[in-house]
Amino acid sequence: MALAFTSSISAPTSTFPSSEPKLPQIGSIRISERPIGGAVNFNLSQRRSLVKPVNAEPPRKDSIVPLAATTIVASASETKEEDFEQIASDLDNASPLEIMDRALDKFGNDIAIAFSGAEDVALIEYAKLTGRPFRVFSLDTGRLNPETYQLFDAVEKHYGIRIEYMFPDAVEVQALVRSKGLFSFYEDGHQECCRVRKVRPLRRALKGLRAWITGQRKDQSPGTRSEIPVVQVDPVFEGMDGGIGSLVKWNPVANVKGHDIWNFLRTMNVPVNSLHAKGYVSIGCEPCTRPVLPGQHEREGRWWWEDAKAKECGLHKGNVKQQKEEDVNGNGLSQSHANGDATTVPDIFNSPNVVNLSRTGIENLAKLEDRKEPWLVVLYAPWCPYCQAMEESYVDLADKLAGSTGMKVGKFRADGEQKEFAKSELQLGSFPTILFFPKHSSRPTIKYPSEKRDVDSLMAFVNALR
Amino acid sequence: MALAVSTTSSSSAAAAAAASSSFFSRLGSSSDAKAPQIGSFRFPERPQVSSGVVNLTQRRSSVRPLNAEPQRNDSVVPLAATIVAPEVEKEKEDFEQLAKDLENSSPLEIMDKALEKFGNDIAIAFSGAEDVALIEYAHLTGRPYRVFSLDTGRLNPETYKFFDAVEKHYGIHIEYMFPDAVEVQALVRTKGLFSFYEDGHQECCRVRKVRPLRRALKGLKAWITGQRKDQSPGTRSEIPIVQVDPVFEGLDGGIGSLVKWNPVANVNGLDIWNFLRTMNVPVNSLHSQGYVSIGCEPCTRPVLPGQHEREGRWWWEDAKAKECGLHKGNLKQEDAAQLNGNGTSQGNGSATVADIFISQNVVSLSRSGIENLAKLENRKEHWLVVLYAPWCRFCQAMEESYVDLAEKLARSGVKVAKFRADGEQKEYAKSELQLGSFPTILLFPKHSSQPIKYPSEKRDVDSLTAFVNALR
Repeated sequence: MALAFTSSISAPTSTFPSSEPKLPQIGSIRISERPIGGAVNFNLSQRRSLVKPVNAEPPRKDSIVPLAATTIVASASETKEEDFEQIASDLDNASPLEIMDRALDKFGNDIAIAFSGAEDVALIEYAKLTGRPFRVFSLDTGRLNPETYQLFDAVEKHYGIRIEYMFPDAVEVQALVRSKGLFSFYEDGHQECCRVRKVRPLRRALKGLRAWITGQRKDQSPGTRSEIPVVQVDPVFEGMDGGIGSLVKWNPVANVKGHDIWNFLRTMNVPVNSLHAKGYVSIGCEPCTRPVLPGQHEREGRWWWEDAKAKECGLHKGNVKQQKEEDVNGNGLSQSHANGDATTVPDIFNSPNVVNLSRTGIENLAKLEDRKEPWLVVLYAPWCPYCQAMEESYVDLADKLAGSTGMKVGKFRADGEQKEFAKSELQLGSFPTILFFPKHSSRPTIKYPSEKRDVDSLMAFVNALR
Repeated sequence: MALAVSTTSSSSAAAAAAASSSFFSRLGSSSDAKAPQIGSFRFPERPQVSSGVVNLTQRRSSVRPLNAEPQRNDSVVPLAATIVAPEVEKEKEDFEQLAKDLENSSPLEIMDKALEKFGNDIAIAFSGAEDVALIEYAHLTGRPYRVFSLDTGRLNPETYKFFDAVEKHYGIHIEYMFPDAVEVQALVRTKGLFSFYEDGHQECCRVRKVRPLRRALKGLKAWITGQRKDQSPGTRSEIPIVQVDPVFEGLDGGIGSLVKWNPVANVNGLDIWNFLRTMNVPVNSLHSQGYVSIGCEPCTRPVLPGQHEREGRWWWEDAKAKECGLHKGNLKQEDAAQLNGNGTSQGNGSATVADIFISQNVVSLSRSGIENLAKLENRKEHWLVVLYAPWCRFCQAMEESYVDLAEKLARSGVKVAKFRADGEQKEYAKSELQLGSFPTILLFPKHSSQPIKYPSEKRDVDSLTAFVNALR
């Protein structure tokens, strides 16, 4: 994937102040026939201190450094446009190496290669083959794959260069992720995130250049095939001198197919991103390169018997279960589940250490501002197989907590007539529901979140909260 | 791993102020109404309600906290007050006393006290590890709470996903801090992206963690960390439950303006994990992949980028070498001599070993021939030249491919040639022709003084053809 950007028309912020000695001007630059030596040196020195290029080789003495010159708008614009259109025509059948050589020859230290961490590393190889000095910049969005950072490092070492990394503005990133989170692009689309992490840093980088080199190819965007010339005045971004037409864009591999790019990389032993070997075709930021939403967490744990239908008795299934229980008993008597009047299914959690709470009892417990002790209460239905399964654990727990711990264990039958009350006031969602009532009611009642209802797990819950 | 930050004494308050982003500058402006003061604040007996309301409104608009629950009416909002210096000691004494009082309290009780005391001026520092327990405790208090995290720009992808899961699980918005662009660019442009493997982590951590942390704390009066004694046995006695922060400055500026709470200081790691499992707290998936401590991705699994295995293998196995190295040249020569069973000297042109690359399509270059070729600025054609030694096994192995290539390229605008570069010619070839080992293949382009060396060991016809086509 070559460096492809969506653009916005908002005014860019620049971290590269323009050189003071230059007068502001309209129109594009031209190469003066006889450069002024002193000005040239001054210019070079100033730019170096701003962008700190570290090239593999010193710039050639015979390279032409373009100087700003005032020209009339009409003739400058037309002449410049014509010039680059002509150059694009001349170079349309040239090899990438020839185009790269021409670009570096023409713009010297005011041009840089945009390297995204993908197969556009070929651009760097071509630049090296010209024997000319060259600059490279990359956009570190703060969310790239680790493999991409490793490739950047390998490329720096392989070619003996320093990549001029661009990083997004802290205030802009913070504003985005604080209001919309770290994965807003899955919901809003990528435009806003790309603008903050890619486009605006790119704009800042280009303001320090007069030309740039991209790895864009026609075969990557068949719909705009005829619209990627090998060189053009950049229609979107602005360069060092400001204004439309102040930046030239070179696309040396526009006419090369992906297949041939890869042959070139293999032949020349160019370092490549290890993600390609893992099946990635296009490479960008990590969340967008393998766009998967964070997986739903599998429901934790399993009960000690398999039941594909449910792990809990849902309220909407209450009647079904009840009927099922009836079928098992094989009698047709209607089951009245009035509180305290259970004749068909025997009650559970019978223990002197488990307090049986009436409706009034649990209402009072919920209202109390200062309880003498914290309470653990199970909301249950005696016919619920999951409540039955935890009976032994809960009674054991009550036995353990009895006496010296200052902890009360209770039960409240919440089916039948009590169901609606328990749903609205006691967080009942399914049977069983286990609640912790803290000693001081400035804290809310806490519902046990796990399905692990063995003694040790319940004890850990109690100890964590009292 | 709790948020552990190394600090540098060289940083000054002015530098910290300069590093503040405009985002937090608004916080500074919100405290214009307060007189600058020395020392820490105290709670006035009777807070001024109207002033407090203004304060809250201003702070909310500046930092945009989004809490799970609305602010309680009964929370105490601290107001700044001018106090005389001797009372500073009293304030410090208060926190020392408070730390003693809370020494045997549960993490939940400590968290509750911290949130009650500081309300909206306190936040939890969450690193993306098991310190998520702090958020669960805060949630359990039922009080509103704030959380901030340091996004260094180099965290593991799993950690970003975990931040997102935590936000959804608790219905909160984490206040992410991001490093300053100019500072990061200055670091990685001069020292690269992996300078910590060579210089140590201090400089990188300062840029990506410490300075953003400093900016975050300048907006707070207190913070909550997941530091534990069992993580640093050497300083066991030095992690109190609550303390005046000895390093960082808070909202009001100056030493003593920030209070640091460590609610799980006395809890050991095993119990933290029991708590997380019991409460069904979301955790970072890296833990199930065997990571014990979690930080930035390159430092969490600190491996250097692997050396690229030398590409390809030759078509026969030779564990000793894939090329004839110059430092082994004589040895190989001796090998060849021994193979032939005679000790005759191998002068140039007087070959005991039969010459190779003999073909009418391969031009044999003399010393002066290749010197002239190298000097030319404009050649009529591209030239492909092999620097070889006839006794070199690897040169012999590629003979057939090279001759086939020469036949293919005949009359195509590319000349194919050979130059024998052993013996007397070796030093010349080393210094002028990039000879590093036998064979060395060079392309002399039509318009260029610089020959290009073939970088691969794949010397079959197709690979060599691809090299030529790529460059002509």
